[in-house]
Amino acid sequence: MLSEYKEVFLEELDEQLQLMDEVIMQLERDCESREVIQSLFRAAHTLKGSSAAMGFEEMKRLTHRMEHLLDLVRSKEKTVTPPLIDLLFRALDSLKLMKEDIVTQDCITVDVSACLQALERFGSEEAGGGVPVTAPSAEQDAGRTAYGTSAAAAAAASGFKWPELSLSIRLHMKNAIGQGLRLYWVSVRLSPDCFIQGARAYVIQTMLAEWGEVLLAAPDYESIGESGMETPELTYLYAGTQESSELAAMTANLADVAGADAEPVSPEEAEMDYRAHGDEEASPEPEREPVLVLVPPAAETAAAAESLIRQPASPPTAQQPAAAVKSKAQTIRVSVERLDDLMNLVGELVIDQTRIQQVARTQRRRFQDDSVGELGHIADHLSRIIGDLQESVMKARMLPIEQLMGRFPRMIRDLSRDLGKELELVMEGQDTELDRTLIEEIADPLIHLIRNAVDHGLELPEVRERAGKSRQGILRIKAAHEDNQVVIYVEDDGAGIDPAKMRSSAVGKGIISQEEADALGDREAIDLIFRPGFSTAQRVSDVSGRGVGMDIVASHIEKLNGMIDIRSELGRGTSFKIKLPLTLAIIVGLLVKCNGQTLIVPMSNIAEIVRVPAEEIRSVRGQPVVLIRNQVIPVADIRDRFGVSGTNDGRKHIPLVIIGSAEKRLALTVDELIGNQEIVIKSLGAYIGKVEGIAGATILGDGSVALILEVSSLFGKAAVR
Amino acid sequence: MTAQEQYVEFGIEREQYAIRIQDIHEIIKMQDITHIPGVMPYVKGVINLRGKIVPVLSLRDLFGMEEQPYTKQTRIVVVNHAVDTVGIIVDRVSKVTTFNDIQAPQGRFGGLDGRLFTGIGLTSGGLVGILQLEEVLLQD
Repeated sequence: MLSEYKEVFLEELDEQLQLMDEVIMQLERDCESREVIQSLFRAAHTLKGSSAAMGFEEMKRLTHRMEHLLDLVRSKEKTVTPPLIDLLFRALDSLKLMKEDIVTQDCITVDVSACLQALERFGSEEAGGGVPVTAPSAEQDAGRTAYGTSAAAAAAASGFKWPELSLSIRLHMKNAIGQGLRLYWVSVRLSPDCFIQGARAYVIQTMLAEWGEVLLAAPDYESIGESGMETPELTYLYAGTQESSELAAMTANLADVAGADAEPVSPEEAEMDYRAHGDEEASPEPEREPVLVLVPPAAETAAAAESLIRQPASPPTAQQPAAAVKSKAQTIRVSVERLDDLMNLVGELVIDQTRIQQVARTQRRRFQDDSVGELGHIADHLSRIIGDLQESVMKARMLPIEQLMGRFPRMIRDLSRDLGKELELVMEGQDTELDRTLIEEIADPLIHLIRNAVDHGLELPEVRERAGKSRQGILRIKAAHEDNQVVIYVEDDGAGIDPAKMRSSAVGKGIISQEEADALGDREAIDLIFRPGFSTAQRVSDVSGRGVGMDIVASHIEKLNGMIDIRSELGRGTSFKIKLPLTLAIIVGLLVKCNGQTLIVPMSNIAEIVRVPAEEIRSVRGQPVVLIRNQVIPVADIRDRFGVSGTNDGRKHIPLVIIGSAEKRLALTVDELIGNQEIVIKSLGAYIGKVEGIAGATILGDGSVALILEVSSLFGKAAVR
Repeated sequence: MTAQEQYVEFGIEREQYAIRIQDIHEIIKMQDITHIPGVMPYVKGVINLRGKIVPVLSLRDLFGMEEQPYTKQTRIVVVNHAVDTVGIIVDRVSKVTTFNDIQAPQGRFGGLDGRLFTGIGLTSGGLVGILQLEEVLLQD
C-alpha cells in the first residue's frame, strides 16, 4: 500500500525537481521576474507538503528552508545574486540525492546538514529592511500553525458551516432538483493516520461521483496533497437518489474514512440564495434560468473563482497549481506495460494484414469474380485502418525529446563553469517525438557527446579570441524527423578534429599500424575516434571520462539499430549525427533472398542499395572491396555468414546492400532484392535464446518465418578476415 | 503419478514414446521450417504457429538416430516447456492411451539414459518410454 503512494510521490518529486531546474536557470538569466520566483516558491512549497506527508523529514526541512529563503526574495528583502543562485542549485542537488536515496533504499541517508546550514546562514545574514529574519524554522512553523487554527476558529465562530455557493453551482443545484435528485451536504472525516490525504480525497470524490453527482468539493482534492490539512475533513455538495442514512453509511465504509454525515439541503436554500446572487451579479429575471445565456462565461468563472477564495480550508497558494492541474486533467497515466501489450497486439494485426493482402493478391490473379474484388477492397481498407491504429499506438508511446533535452541546460551550465568555457546553448526540435524506451536509451550516449563537445570540442575563450572567433562558443543540439527516422545532431563550432593528430595518436596507442594509418583518408582517420581505447585528450579530465567514451557511444547506438556519423572540419567545429528508428518494436525491413531463404535487413541499418557490375568487386589483400563514391567498402557474402556455399556464378550485376552500424560500412552481396516491408520483431524465444547474427524473426505475408539480421554482429565477422 | 493418467503415444523408428497429455499443447502436421544458423543441430529451426514463433526439435536427432525424410505421418508435437512452447518432430503419433503398469526406468532404456524418462509403460504392444520433458529438452 505504501509503495503505491511512494510511486505517486516520486512522480511528483520528479516533476517538481525538473521544474526547479528550469526555473532556477531562468532566474539566473532574469533576476527580477516575480513570476519565476513565484513558481520556484510554489515548487518548494509543494515538495515540502508532500515530503512531510510521506514522512521524509530531511527533505521537508530542506524544502522549508528553500521556501523561506524564496519568501524573502519574493518580499524583496533579498535580491537575486549569483551566490544565491548557486545556493539554490546546491539545495536542488541535495534534493536530487535524497530522491535517489528514496528510490534505492526507501529512506534518506545523505547528509544535507551543510546545505541546510548554508541556507539558514544565507537567509539570516544581511536581512535588509530592518526585519530580523533570525527566527529559526520552528518558530516559523509555529506561526503558520497558529494562523491556520485561528483562521479555522474564526470561521467556526462566525457560524460558518458550509462553503459559499457560486452562481453556477446554484444552477446545477436547481437542475438536480428538477431531475428529482436529492441534495446533500456530505461531510467526511478522514482518519488521522491517512497517508496522502489528497489521494484519498480523490478516491472519495470519485466514488461519490459514481453514486451520484458531486457539485462541489471543499477542499478540492487537487489542493490538498501539497500541505495536508490540519483538520482532515472534506465537504461535498452531492446530488443523488439515496436516502441520507444510506449515503452516510456508504461513505463511512470507504477506506481511511473515520466518519461521515449526509445532511439534506432544502431546495429553498438553493433558490433563495440564488435569487440574492442573481440580483447582484446576473440577470434581473431569475425565474426561468436565463442566466446561462446572459452571463458571459468570464463572469461565471469569476464567480466560481470567488467561491474558491472563500473556501476556508483551501490554502491561498493552492489556487494556481490547482488550476494548472485542472487543465492537465485531460491526460491519464498508463503503465508502459499496457502500452507494450497493446503494441504487441497491433504487431499481430500487422502480420495478419500483410497475409490478407497476399491472399487477396493471389485470389485476384486466379479468379475473376466480384467477390474477389471485394476481398481486395476490404483488404486495402483493413490495412489502412491497421496502419492508422499502429500509428496511434506508436504515438501513445512517444514522448517529446524535451523530456531528455530539458536536462541539458543545467548540465551544460555546470560543465562550462567547471571547465572555464563560455558557450551559448542552442536547442532545436525539442518537440520531436520518439519512443519512450528510445529516449531512455539515448540519454547516456547523448550526454557523453555533449560532454565531449564542451570539454574537447570547444576551446577556451582566450584561444577562441586568438583564432579570430567570438569568445562564446556555440553548442547546438537539434532533433528532427527525417523520413521516418529520428535524427539528433550535436554540433559545436570548436576546434574540430585534426586527422593528422588522429593518425599519429592511433599509431602511438597501437590501435593501428603506421601503414594502415597512412592508407587512411581524412574521414576514416576521424572515424578512428570510435575505436575502443581511443582518446585524443591530452589529459584525462573527470568530465569526458577515461577514454572509454566514443566506442561505448557507438556500440550503444548500434544496439538501438541506429547509426552515428561524424563530420569535422579543423578549426570550424565538429558535428555528430545520430539516426534512430522511431520505435523498437516495428521496423521497416528490406527483404532479400539468399540461397532460397528470405532474410530481413533492418532498413535503419541500410546506408544504400546499389547494383554493381561483378568486376567492380575487387580484392585488396584478400578482402573483397568495392569502391562507391570514393569510399572503399569491404564486401561480405551473407552466405558465408550462414555457412552455406554459393558463388556469384557468373552474374553480370550483383545487388549490394550497404549496411552501416555506427560509423562502419559493409556491403552485403545478396541473390535477390525482394522489397521493403513493415515488420514486427519477434524474439526466437527463450528456448533458442540469443543467436549470434540474428536479431529476431518475423512472420511474412505467406505465413513463413524470416530471420532478421543483426547488422552490428556482421561487422565483427568481416573484421576478422 | 496415478496409473490412469492419459498419455499421447507416438513413435520414431520402431520405438514408442509417450508424453503426459496435459503437457501437450497440440499436434500439428509437418510445416515449413525456417532454418537458423549456428544453433544446436537438433534444433531444426522455427515455425509459425498462428503468429507465434515456435522452435522445433527433431526427436530423432535428440536420441542420436539418423534423420529420415519427412513423410505424411510426420507430426510436430507441440509441448509447453516452462514459459516457452516447443515443437518436437516425431515419425508418427499413434493414440491417446493409459498405462495400467508403469515401471521406474532402469539405468538405460533402449540405449538411452534412463533420466530422460519418468517411467516405462507396459502395454500389450510392448514398452513405451514416458518422456521426462525437462531432461529431453535441456540436452546439450
